[in-house]
Amino acid sequence: MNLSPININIPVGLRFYVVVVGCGKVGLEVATRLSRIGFNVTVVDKNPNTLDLLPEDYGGFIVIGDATERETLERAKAIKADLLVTTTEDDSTNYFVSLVGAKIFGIPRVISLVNDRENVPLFIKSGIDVISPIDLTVDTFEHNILEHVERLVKNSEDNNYWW
Amino acid sequence: MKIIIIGGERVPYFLAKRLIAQGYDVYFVNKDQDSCEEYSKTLNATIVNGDGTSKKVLDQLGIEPNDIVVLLMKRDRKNFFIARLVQEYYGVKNVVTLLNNSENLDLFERFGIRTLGVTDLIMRNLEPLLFGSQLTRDLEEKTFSKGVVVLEITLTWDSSIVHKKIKELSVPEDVVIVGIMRGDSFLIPRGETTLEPGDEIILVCREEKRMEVLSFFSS
Amino acid sequence: MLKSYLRIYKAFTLVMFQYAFMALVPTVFCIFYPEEIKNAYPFLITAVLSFIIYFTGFAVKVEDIETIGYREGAVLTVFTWVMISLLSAIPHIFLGNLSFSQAVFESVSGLTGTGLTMFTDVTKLSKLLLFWRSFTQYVGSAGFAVLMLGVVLGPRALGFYKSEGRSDNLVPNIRRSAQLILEIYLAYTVAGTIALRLSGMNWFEALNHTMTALATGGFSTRNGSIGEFNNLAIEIVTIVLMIIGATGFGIHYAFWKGNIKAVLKNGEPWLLISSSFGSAIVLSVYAIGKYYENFGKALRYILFQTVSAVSGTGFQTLPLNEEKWIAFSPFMFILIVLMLSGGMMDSTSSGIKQFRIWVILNTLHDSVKGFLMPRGTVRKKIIFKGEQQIIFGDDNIREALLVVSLYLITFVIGSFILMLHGYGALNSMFEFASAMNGVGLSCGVTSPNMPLTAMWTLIIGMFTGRFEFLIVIYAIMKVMNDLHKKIDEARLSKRINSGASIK
Repeated sequence: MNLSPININIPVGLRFYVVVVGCGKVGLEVATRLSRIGFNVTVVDKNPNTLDLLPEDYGGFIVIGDATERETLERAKAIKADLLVTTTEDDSTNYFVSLVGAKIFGIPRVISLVNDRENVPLFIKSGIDVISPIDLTVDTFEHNILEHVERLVKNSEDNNYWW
Repeated sequence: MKIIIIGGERVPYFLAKRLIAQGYDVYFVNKDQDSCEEYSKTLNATIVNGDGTSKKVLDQLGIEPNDIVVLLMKRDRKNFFIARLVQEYYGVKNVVTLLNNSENLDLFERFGIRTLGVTDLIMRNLEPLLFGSQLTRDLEEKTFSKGVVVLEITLTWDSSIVHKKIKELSVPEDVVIVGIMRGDSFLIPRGETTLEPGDEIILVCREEKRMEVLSFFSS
Repeated sequence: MLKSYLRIYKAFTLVMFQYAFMALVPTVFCIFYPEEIKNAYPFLITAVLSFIIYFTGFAVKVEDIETIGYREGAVLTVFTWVMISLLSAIPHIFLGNLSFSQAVFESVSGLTGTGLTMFTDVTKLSKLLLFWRSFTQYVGSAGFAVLMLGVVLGPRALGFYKSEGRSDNLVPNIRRSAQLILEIYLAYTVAGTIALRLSGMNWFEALNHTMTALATGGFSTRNGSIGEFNNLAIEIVTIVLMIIGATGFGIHYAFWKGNIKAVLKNGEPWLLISSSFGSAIVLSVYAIGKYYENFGKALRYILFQTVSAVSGTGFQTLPLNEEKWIAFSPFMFILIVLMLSGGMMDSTSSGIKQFRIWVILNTLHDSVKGFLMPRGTVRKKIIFKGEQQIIFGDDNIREALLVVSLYLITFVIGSFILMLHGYGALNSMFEFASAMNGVGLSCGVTSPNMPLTAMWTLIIGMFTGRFEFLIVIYAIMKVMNDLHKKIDEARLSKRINSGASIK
């Protein structure tokens, strides 16, 4: 993986509550990791089958429901959240829930997955932190490829790579 | 200035028709290909078959700040998303949307998006029915044996007696308007009271006068 | 596969480390009772043996322990408990002069929170041993996993936690939840001890009885149990402690957080109170004139027994082994039913548990509603469990029915076996229900001289009942399954090796 490991000291006994919306490929992994670190986590998904996929050692809560409905977020105690992470595959859902979380429930920090890179500016303008998988992936590809080429050029003795 | 209607099923069609008749430039965005093809046959509007939540599709429309965007999608979250997209990316100032879940009103209002609360509207129309029937039934029980009937008439948009004060109307004799149900309030009418469309008026009159009264108030 | 069993063994040795300290705790009382020093040695033996087992675990490194899954948790739990039961019997053999079977009985009765005893006269016993009995109930009822999860292994121990019968998650952080459970348990212990002291017991007895009341175990330092004190204040405090012990930790947490609304919306507390109090009132009315002169007196004794039965504690204020009481059939029958129903889920009680009864009642209600409403109506029900709401689904119903069936089947088999030994029908059912559901009320069947087969029937009843049968079945099945695979593998490789020569 390309991100350098983060060495941050989280003090023992820190109470930090995260609500993760969407228990798909991304949401499940994020929730599990945060729970393992020791944060308080609640995962919200409207499909109980996806929630079943959470691993054995997931130590947080689950809420079954549609996160775009107020009642579901209330059940997830969103009002107490320090961080909201939206990870569904539909940007309009992510946007909607992010704003409800930020403006109505007053959650101080919101990070959202944005599937379509065209929508990124909208999220940013609305004060939501963005994780854009396509951008990250393409950047990584580019980085890898350029590194590779650089190495090739350095190592090549003959003129294979020049016109 | 154009009016862009995004989403919806049959409502957009009739809405578009009306607007076009009034001379406006109408654009239509709908995901359902069959609907789009059907509309293109009879509507004199620009019909785009595509997903309104996608910026790529919206880019095609050439949206300008003083356009009006009307959102009729089934899901509040989509309507909200598109509303914000057009506000931020194209600078649109006027957005009107259907609101399915009245709980979300605060969010839309915060961003200056006009809403039409469908659920609230239906509730408001149901309430007098729920409320009124009991009232008239009780009244009828008391009066029936004495040759008097209680009538409940809803005034429609195209009624000839609306927008007029009661004292201006030539109401038939021997009939009294006992009460008017408007929205969730109940009015005791006086001469100065103006009748509005949607009002449900409760009348008391003699049995013999019934037909005359009915035809006057329902015209 | 080997890796998985190594993991289980390593986790087991970690529990042994904890257990070693647990075995040393009674020796602390030598400070208060210096004459007991001569009795400290069996605990030292137990502790040393546990430490030795712990050291054998060094072959496996802790970092190698990944998460203990549910399947491994089952094997771990059963294996650990069998070993701990055997080790806990050592003090009983040396200080209590019990035979091997009797000592194992007493040990299992302690750890499972049952409370049936082999001792005919506890007053002659060493104070250290008396404390040991109470302490085994105190720790065993809470479960070893709580400490493991909260302090040692963290979420990796979840499989162990769930196999021991815990399902509560008080806060969205399992480690913190386990810590909270320990805090709540300790807080109630302190409060209870003070309350009993103020009601008339001495400190030692107050502590012991509080521990066994909260653990819904029921071991007493008196032969006549709580009845011997003949003190209304003590009886009332004990009833309160028994109910506290039988209440789930989720509900305790909700209560102390101030979320009374959630507490009231839970079905279990209502069921527990109404069944125990309701039946007590009915029986007391019936008993007026026949057993007691007035309602008040009848209620005092009958209510204590019904609460003791439903909570699974087993304290007695009546000598239920006397003819007079055995003949009071409606009373004995109600006690059997209450013993079977058990306390709330996620508490220290055993039994079928009020939650499952609540599930079954809800299923019935739902079924009737479905019958009356138009076909095809979509119904969703949400029930409260502690502070959380869960969606009532088919798996809840299936689990409830499965477990209830297992309880009933075991009850039938166990009671029958006792009857084959010559005990009366009512007595057999009563005693076996008491053992299986970790209660401890005795109508006289349990005695140090009972036939060994009957004794072991009760031991097995206590043990399997503690784990609600399924875990024991799962553990045995998993081991057999794995053995089967190993044998198949060996056979296959043998065939391949020998097959190479046949060409």
